[in-house]
Amino acid sequence: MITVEIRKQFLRLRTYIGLGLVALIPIILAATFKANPPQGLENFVDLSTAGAMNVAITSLTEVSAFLLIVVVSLFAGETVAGEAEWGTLRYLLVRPVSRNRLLAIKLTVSALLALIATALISLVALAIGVVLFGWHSLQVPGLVALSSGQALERLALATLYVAWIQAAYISFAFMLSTMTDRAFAAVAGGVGLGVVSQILNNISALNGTSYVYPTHYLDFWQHLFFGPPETADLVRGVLWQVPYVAVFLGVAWWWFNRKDVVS
Amino acid sequence: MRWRDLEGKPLVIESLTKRYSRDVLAVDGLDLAIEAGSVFGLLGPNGAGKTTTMRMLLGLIRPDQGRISIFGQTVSPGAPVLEEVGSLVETPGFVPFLSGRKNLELFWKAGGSSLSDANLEEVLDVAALGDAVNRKFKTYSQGMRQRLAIAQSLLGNPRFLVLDEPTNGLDPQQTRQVRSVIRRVAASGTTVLLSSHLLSEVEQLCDHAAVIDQGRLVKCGPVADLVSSRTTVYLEVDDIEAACSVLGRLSICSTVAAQGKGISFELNGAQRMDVVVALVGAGVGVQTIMARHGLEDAYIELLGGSGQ
Repeated sequence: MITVEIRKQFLRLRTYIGLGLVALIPIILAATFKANPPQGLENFVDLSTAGAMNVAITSLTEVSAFLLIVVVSLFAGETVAGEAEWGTLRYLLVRPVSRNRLLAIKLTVSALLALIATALISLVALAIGVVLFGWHSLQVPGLVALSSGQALERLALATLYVAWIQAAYISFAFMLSTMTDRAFAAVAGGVGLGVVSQILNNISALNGTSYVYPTHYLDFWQHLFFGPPETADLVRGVLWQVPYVAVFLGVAWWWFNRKDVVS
Repeated sequence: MRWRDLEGKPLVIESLTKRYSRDVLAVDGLDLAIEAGSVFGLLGPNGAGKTTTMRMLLGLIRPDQGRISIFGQTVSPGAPVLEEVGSLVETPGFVPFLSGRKNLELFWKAGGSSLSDANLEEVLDVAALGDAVNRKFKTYSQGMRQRLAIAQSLLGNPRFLVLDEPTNGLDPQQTRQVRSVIRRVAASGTTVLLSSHLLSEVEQLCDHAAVIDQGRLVKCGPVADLVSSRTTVYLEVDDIEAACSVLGRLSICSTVAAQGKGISFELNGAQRMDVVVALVGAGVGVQTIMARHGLEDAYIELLGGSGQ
């Protein structure tokens, strides 16, 4: 059934719109830098014209700050509630597809789409970077230069990390998706959690407690490039998603298995 | 009835109860058994508990009490025995941006079966969508949607078909088409359970029926028995008292009772004309005479009608 679900997703315009948007931003960013190169040397955004790796790092930072939250919430929030909205959920369940299996497949495909969306940012950014600025391994003033191979390896790691940090609000949107028959509400819930987490995390007065928010560790992957690499922080970022995921998915399973399907 | 005696029956429901909230008892201790090969009608007004019952027997809603078995296997959400059941639950449910054909293909494969096991072309013939079968579902008219839903329920030749209000929202011609599909399926030996709020539909399609209201069984049996067990006659005359005494003396009448502006009584095997002759002979003017058979009677009673 998982191939059926994947096919269904890739027969949908909304999948292409979501993926298209995350792919579009790196292109717009790179084109803007080309037309109007940043002058300063204060941060890595200013160095985006230095080469493809720099474009990739800038894109991953900018897109994951907001747009990626919207796109992965769209995939995860729509997945079960969308079927309820169409009236196809009840027919799938009496086909029969067991409720556990349905959730497992829906979650797997949502997660897969989120991973594809995140990977697309890095891949498109690298491609457009090579076209506009050529391939130069990452250039950061005052830091050890990485070889091309090392740089790509770390970008792959960073991409996986960014994808995983989405786990909390993917799980939240997914949980809402099992509870409501309104796909939009579940999507909005996921976006809401991501945005609120971002905002609270950025309020400096809350600095002492900001580590509790699921997106607190979002940008910690940059340490992979602007060393020294703080592995402990990365591990903490990865692990910190686990309680959120466990609670949201636990509730999703508990709820959906007891739910009276009346949609 | 012992539980093990019921093995193999397409459907057995025992003291099924579902309460939605403290005040809403949707289904209240319902018992039903359906024999293989029959076309069973669940007749009741809107809100009688038909849809809730059907959703429970498909494992979509959990009963508070009671048990359901299909072909001897207890039904729980996603129970494997549901593979043997085709269903139309309330309204068609299809992915709007996919064609009718694609919808049926994906629905079938979602259950983990290969497309070659399904009678896809055959059921698409039943749906009679013509070229529209390759058009997006959202462009379909209501009749096309309903026919596609019935076609979907027939995928894989299920042994038991559950259809909730299959002709709801259809125009008379579409209704006739759907009914003829149901008759064809039943003729091939498939057991059919259909719900309807229309007496005529149940009379035309079903051999057995149960009338339910407020979640309770009101009447149940072969449609032929329900219809002909007794004939109730309703009369309006100019002199109710005189008419009652005339009818009371006639051996062909029983349970004579004044009812509103008229009289109702049961007629045992005689013609209505005999009654009219007797009344007119005794000088009683007859204004209206009409017969109601058993099922209609039960149905009208529970709908709170006064015989109009």
